[in-house]
Amino acid sequence: MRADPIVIIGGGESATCAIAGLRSEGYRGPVVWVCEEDIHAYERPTLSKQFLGSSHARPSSVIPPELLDDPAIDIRLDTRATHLDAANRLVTLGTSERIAYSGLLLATGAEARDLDLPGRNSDRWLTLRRAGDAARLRPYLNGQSRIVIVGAGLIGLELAAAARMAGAQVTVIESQDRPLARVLPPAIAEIALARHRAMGVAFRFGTTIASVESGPTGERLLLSSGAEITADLVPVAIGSIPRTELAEAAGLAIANGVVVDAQLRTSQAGIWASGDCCAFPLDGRLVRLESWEAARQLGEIAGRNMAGRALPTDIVPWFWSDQYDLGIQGLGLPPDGATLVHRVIDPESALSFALCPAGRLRAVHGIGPETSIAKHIKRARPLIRDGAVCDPAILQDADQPLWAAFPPLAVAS
Amino acid sequence: MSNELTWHQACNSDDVDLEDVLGVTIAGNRVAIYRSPDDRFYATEGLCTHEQVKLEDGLVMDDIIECPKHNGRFNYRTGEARGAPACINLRTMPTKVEDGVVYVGLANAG
Repeated sequence: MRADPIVIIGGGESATCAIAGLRSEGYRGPVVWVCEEDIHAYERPTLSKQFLGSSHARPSSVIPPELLDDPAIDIRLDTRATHLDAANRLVTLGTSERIAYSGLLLATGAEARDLDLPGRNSDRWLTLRRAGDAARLRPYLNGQSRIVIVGAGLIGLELAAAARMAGAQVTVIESQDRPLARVLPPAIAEIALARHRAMGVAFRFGTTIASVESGPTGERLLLSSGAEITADLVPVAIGSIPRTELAEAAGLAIANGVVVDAQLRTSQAGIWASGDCCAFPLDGRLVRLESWEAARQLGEIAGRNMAGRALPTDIVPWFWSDQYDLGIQGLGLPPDGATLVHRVIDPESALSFALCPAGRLRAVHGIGPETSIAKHIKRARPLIRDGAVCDPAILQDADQPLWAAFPPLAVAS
Repeated sequence: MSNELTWHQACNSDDVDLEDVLGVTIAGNRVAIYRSPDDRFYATEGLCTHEQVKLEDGLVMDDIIECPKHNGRFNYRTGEARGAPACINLRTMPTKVEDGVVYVGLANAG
């Protein structure tokens, strides 16, 4: 008798790495790979960066050739999983096809959060999540466009940079009083903000859109501050919502994402979850990450665990962002009540270290031209993993070697 | 194709720390010069094969260079891609050290 396949739901990086993980552990059985989009898994980070300014029709594929050529991997593009029966291990695809699975992975990702504003002309509004969204944005990236971006997070500011470099007039509206508040310490975010201002981006902090009036010449936005602004295009970049509808309907535990244990198992036997859709335990908290590396790492761990391993999700979260020629990176999760120690390298380069009360390094964030701070972030990785205790006085003193702040045994090199 | 090499001056040997990397431009090409923990010099093309990021900002660990952007890994002695997302090998070039100067050998065109 033929074994029931493993079913992978989701067509992104996490799903791709899960299938590679299954194969790397020797699982040779059938895989049914359910992808909602009509193209193979592709690089998503570039959609808010280089891809916008390029003429490529689609971003690069991320599927290793050996998976594409694997006859036991049945890739279903343009297909939705519509129902999940966890008790009987059955998943329904499209309107009617039912598949019995031996194991199932939810790697359904997240969708962009949108604003619900009556009266808006949807042709002039967009969120950015998929290659098609980026294609809709491209025609506006020129000197004639007035672009008003809602949200000063990473995606909003990457878009602001891409639009300014293309010559568009750019305004960013942010409900909080500073940019990048969720992801970066203020001292690092300020360097990015100063560069955006120097490049001519206008910011409206502490304000929201109260109402919209659509007209032939653009969208007239009335702000809560009382100001008015007209836009040819309004990209909304206010975060994402995990895609949990299938899991929720199947009765799986949900808490800002599909809840999984440290091995990425959901509350139902035979079902795992990975990537942006899952909430997993890390440092005693349940966290949901929306970053490229975590999506890949969690996918690989899930795939290998589905093949019989029991690997824990002990990752150190990492992200990067590119804005103009500035590179931003963040590593680790700052704990509540962290002490921030700032190290200025030059006016456009700095590092910020988050220490827990006992002086252990828990996270580092940095900004600088191109990849100039990358080496520091990389060297911090084993120190964060080990919870190395450091000397804040040396950390913040740019005249002293950075790694002298850590005890000799813990120094990475 | 000729197998003849031309030796180009790249840097002084003490410009590169042990287990570190330096970027130089030779005949218009970005080249990464590595100094291994056992104090030998190696050279590869200077841009990552994944997204053309400068490898000189990456971290050297033993005989591995990790790309500063997406953490793709290569063995810099052989050029072999050793970790996703990098899957295309780096081109390597021969090196020699004479009187404290590191030279990189580039194949002559033709």
